[in-house]
Amino acid sequence: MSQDRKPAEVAVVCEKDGERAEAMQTHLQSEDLAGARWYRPPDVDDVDEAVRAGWVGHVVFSDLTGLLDAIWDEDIQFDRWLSAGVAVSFADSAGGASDTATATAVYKSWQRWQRRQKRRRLVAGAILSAIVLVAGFVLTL
Amino acid sequence: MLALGVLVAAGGLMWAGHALASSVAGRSSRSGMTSERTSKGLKQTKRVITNVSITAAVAAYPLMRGAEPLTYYGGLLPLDGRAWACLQGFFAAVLYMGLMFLGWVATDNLRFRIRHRPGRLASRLAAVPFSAALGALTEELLFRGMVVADLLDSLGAVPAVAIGALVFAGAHYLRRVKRYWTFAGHLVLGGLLCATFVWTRALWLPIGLHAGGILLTLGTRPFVRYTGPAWLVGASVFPYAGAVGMLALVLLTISMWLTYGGSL
Repeated sequence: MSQDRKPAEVAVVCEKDGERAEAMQTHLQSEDLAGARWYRPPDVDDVDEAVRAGWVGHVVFSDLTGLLDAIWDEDIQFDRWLSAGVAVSFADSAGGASDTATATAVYKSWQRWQRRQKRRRLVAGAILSAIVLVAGFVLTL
Repeated sequence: MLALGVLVAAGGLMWAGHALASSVAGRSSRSGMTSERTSKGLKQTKRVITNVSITAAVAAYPLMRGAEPLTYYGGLLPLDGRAWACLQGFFAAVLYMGLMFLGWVATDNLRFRIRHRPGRLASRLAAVPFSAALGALTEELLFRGMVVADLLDSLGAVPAVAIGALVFAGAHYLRRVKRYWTFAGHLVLGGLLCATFVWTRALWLPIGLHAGGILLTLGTRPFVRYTGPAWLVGASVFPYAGAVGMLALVLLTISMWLTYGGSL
């Protein structure tokens, strides 16, 4: 992150060479946001840092799920975004979606995240257990 | 006290070099010894300056005492039974830190997730063993092989360990860093490394302990996210800085004392 950054710039959270990049480009052009800075979804914590530093005033996600994933993963402190008045928008905004559709999207995202989290914890636990066991074994030789 | 003088001189050299590099790069020389938000080239230049300053200090100290550097440091790395302590220290550090991580994963204070693309991840992980070995060797030569060994010439074991730990911790905060609350953790770690050097009169054990800690810290960094409170779990750059980490360091110190029959 350079220091010559202009205040309150626009950040885009999307893979630049991913399948949603084209839709995002179209959205940015239609909203006159072509100069926005792109971040990969795994780097969304960098966006959070930029928001908290006051460098970013508008964040564009591919869709609601992108934002929710970042919230569930605690990669962003969304309450800080809200108090800072940061604008959030989606390239695929599903405009006019019903309350039920929104609630369903949130629930599915939460469910997916929980499954993913369980998997990650399982893998991490297995790897760490193996490391600890090897270390313990060597120390008792 | 000669070693402390050499260390201060190296710090001054480092500071002047960093300021000059910043100035040449068109940045304020007052930015001093910070690598935050600077270009990759400037960061690398500063890293080279740091390494050259440390190497110069490590080489200069024995020469000023009239000894060949290789002979002097070779004496602190005896190829006898004490060399095995390096392995024991390494695996003890890995065991303690692995147990800490396991506990944190189980209690959701630490989350695992792959952050980088496969290529970048592979290159980062490939560099970890070298960073661990080099980082541990360099810091042990400097802080234990030079500073603590020199302090032991004029002071008792307890003040030498206390001052050595303080110098070790303080040196990590010479440049501007993101967080300073990790100082206490560095102090306790310094105590462990200085004490193990005093107990064994060799660098093998502190090198092993240090390398094991660096290996697991750097090896897990591309995967972990600390979600627990910092006072409990520390920070990704230094997991030993939290309450659990410091307790682990104290227990590790006691364990090493029991094993190596310390006489502090």
